[in-house]
Amino acid sequence: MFEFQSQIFSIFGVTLILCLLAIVLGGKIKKADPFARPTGAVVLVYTFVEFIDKLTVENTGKKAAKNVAPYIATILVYILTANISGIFGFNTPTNNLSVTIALALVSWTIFQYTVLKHNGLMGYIRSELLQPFAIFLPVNIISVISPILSMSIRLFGNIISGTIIGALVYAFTGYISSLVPVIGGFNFFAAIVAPPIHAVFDLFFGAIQAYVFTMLTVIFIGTRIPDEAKEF
Amino acid sequence: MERGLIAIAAALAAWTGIMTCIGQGNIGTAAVNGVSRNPEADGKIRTTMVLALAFAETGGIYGLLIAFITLLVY
Repeated sequence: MFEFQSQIFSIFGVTLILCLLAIVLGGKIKKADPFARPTGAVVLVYTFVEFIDKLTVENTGKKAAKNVAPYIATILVYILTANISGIFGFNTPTNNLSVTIALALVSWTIFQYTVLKHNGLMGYIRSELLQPFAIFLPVNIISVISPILSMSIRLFGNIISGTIIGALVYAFTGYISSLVPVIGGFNFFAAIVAPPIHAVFDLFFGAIQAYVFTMLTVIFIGTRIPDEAKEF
Repeated sequence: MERGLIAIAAALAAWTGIMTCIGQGNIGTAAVNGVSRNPEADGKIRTTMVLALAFAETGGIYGLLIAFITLLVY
């Protein structure tokens, strides 16, 4: 009835790593002299914050960017770390549908909140549900809900396909190397075949999917803010 | 008998990859055209292209996911 899923450990692991990183980097930033040239990890943090600021201001305007930017940075760092954690032996958190649906739900709530805030309740019903005529209500309800499904399944599908292909490769190389008589117990073929697969599916696709998820969130928030409310 | 039908169903689900490949090819063509016309916009075009490729890939990934689920769950 109640099944314990191994992703819980990796979720805690990723959270712990990010917390430690935040504490260490935060201490460094606090000590850093704002007028001197930044060095080491501080440069990395400056570049990252500048990148996030530019991305959000371009899409949502200056006023909303102040509230949106921290969420965007959090989600990018979290998904990136979660996807990459596969190569360190964690069971990637994002290959559990519950995790990706939770992430998509948070983003979706922000989309709905943005529309409500800028249009009011009547404006929300008029602009989201009764567009262009009242007959389209069922279609519009589906289109309001669909971002949850599409965003979560896109992330989940990419990561789980990498995980499954990795598992298949390990099983196959294990079978091949078991045919070798003396040292067959040691899966040495995987040492040759697996690294490129980990590089592509964990590092490359993981990074791209993290980027796509954050970009989608920013763009969807941006399209829901009316042009008059944006000032660049 | 049943296993065979399941395998055929999985193979049919993996067919979504065909249109995904065509779409990704179109994206690649457009990106190469853009770079050859305007070599300075190299970096921007690459970022946009990778993003578009990731979107186009989604359909194929859904098919792959359904194929895996069909094979592993039943």
